[in-house]
Amino acid sequence: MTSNIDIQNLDRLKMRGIETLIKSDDSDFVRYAVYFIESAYIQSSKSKSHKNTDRILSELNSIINNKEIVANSEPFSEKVISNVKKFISLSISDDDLEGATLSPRKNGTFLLDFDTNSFYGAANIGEKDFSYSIINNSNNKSMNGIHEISNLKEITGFFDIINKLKI
Amino acid sequence: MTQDSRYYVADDEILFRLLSYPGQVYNNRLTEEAFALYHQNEDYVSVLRKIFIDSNDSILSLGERIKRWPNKEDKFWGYCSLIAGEVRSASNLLDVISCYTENFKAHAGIVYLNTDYSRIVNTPGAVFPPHILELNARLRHIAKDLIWKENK
Repeated sequence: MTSNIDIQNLDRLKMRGIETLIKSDDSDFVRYAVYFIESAYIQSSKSKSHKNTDRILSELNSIINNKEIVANSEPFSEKVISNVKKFISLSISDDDLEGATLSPRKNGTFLLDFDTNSFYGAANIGEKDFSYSIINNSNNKSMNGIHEISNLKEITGFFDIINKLKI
Repeated sequence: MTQDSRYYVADDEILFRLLSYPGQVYNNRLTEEAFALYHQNEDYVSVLRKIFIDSNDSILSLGERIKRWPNKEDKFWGYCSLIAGEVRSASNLLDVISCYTENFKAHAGIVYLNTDYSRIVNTPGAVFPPHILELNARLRHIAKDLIWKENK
């Protein structure tokens, strides 16, 4: 099987044994195994502070438990909620979520808005995809993209963009 | 037979208000809340404007000409007919053409268009195309700066 999993990410995990998994014929199994291991690794390597991650998770809970919002929106599916958690769990550090706020869209997706001294923009997290536009304050140029949410490489790529823009 | 009355969005403030908050819009309609902000018993709203923005400074300059800006607590949203395919980030030029769409006469006739002029269908669980997110973000940035200046 040919995997689209980023080998460099795996190296970063320092878990060589996972490469054996890539040779597996079960692509879904490999994808999820890598996802969970990578998430666990990233979580463990984050700074001690989780205040921004916790804050956004708290915002997520507030939104999905807000009767007024829920009554006026398409249902927030378990899949979308899970995607939001997955997305923020792949931030490289908790600081990546500094200045980010979560808000609902009426079609049952979420917007993660960023507003910092060095950049601003948003990521829209949906059922199958995520899209984003990040604008660099220093040169006013934007970096845009739309990818499948299952593409972990692109999610980490999004946070790489943010990291490069940090002052 | 009485003629339909139409409300033209003719000033920058209302246009920017509509364009700044597209994220909450759904099903090709301005919500009741949004429409109530702008209509005066007209049958529909028409928008036909071009905005050329070539830098952050000019964005802010345009924003500053808008006398009043919504408070953060304000809730309204618009569904704007936006031929946003000409968003040329590479040259820092944001070219937005907003126009009335006859199909939505019964409601505020404002829809998003893809770069090929096809209509963006706002289906459950689907994300906005990046160029719309970009436009939205740039316009909200104006709002933020103005709110900050007003509160200073």
